[in-house]
Amino acid sequence: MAWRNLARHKRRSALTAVAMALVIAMSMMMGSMMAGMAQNMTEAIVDRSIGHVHLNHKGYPETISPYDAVPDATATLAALRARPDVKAATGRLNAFGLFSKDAGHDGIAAGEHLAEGVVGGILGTDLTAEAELTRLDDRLTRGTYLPAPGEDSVLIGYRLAQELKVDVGARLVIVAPALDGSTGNVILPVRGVFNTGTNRMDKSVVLDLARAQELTVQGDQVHELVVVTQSNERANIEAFVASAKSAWPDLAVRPWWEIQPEVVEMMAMSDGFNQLFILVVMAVAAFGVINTLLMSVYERTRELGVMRAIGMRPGQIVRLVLTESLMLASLAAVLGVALGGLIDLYMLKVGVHLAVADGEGYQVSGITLDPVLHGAIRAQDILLPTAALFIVAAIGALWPALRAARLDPITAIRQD
Amino acid sequence: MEVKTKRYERTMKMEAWSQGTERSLIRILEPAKDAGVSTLKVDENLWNYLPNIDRTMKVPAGMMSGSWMGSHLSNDDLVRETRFSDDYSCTLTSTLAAEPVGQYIIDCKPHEDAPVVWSRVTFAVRQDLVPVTQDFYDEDGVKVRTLTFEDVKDVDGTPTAMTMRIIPHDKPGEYTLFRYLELDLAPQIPEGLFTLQSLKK
Repeated sequence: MAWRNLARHKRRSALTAVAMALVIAMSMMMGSMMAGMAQNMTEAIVDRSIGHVHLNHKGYPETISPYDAVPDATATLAALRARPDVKAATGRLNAFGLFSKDAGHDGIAAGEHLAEGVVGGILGTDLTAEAELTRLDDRLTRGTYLPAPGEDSVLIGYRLAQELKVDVGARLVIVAPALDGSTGNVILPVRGVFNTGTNRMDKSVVLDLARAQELTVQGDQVHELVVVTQSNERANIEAFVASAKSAWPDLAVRPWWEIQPEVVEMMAMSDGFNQLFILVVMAVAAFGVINTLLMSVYERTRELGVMRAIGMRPGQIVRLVLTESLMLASLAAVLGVALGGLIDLYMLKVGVHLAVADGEGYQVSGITLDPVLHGAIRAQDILLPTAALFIVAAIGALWPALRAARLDPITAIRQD
Repeated sequence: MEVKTKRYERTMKMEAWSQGTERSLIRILEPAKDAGVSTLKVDENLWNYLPNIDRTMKVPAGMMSGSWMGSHLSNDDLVRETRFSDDYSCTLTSTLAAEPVGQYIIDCKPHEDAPVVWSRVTFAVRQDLVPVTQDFYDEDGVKVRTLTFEDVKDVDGTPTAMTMRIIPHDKPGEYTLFRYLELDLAPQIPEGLFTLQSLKK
């Protein structure tokens, strides 16, 4: 009977169902985009620069002092590499330096190399291990990743390269404070330029670990041990962190979300926005449902009066109107999920272009996202709006249903 | 110069020329690793010359607060000295009867909008103008650094403190000590000494 009632006003029912379906589809699309962006950011920071877990000297996360090197790093690194839950690990040295482009020996006359230098980061690492950990070799835009045997040269982030106007083959003057109070200084040719999408890295140079240790008089010390575990899953990383903490109680063991909390906050915020969006469109949908059912109840005043007169109880009337509403919602859910699914598939396979004018990606808290944003499909982004729609349909139908149930049969029948 | 910090100790031998407080040229002689590293100061500009790479670099604004040659002096301290009399006004607060010579106690406060680091600097100076101590206070009025001058000798008829010790109060146990091995108060300064060309020499 509920279905027949809906079918009596095909156009009105269809319009309401389509509106509700659009609400679901839009919510699904929003969810997919947010999830895609979150995935993109995680990949950008985790896979391209931070890795999964860092082990540092206890004081290092606070002080970031070059003197707080990882104690007993060599043995710890060997133990890490031997663990079955570790995919790759390496030691890194973090420092900073003053960089400038070398203008040659007679530069004084030209006055050119007296220009003030640019301050940037120095990352000393094992290049082979780094390629395995963060795919730095894939991020090279020009030049060669590994040096030729005996070659002493440097890789430079594209932002720093741009600022200094240097490219592959140019000579880079590096001046860095050393641990013994002296000033490390060296001129090295640029071997390659990389673009990782994280500002910190792209304003740094990458040196072979031993070369960086020599420059900053750091001995054989490193500041962090970087670990990539067997899987990207958070639970898996958490398990590794717990076990590493008990294995090395004297070290600070931090997963990537503790190292870059802004990214986690950012994701939580975008999830919050997404939920707010769903709330707003659901409220709009609720008014649509109320309007449709209220209209149909008004039109059927006489008919409902007759039904009451022939013995239908108010509870049954309420159930009738609610059933109509939920049927409408079911129809909308099928349509909406189908439509939303198509949009999601498009977002997953093709994506949308967010590229800004200069062809670079879109920036969020110092991390450049891929210019093409691909969606991600999560069960929660389909289930949440669908469930919300059914709740809205039920609540929205309550007022018209109660109104219909409270009709006085005699006055109702008399009305045309 | 002797530097002692929690992290390292280093001793360097250097030669330095200066003219007024505006110009100076400092060159490291020992240890061999740093020999030839030089600093030129002209007014408020500072350049470092690094012989290993044969390059001169102007110290950028962002590195002015960094340590000079690993000591407890910052690059800023080297150039601030030039501006001291412009930025501060001083009053003689008392005279002290001391052995062997009486001392003046002088209190200096910065002008209202002078771009300075210290909120107050006090001096104890012997009446024959040999400095005894200098205390530096930060913006909260906390004494953060003391300079002490010792080992007064007669150099060409002028009494002169031959050592200066910098004691940073926020880093217990650390200090930087400057000791004159030789001092010429009226040298013949060759023409063009305080230039980038002679920095490389």
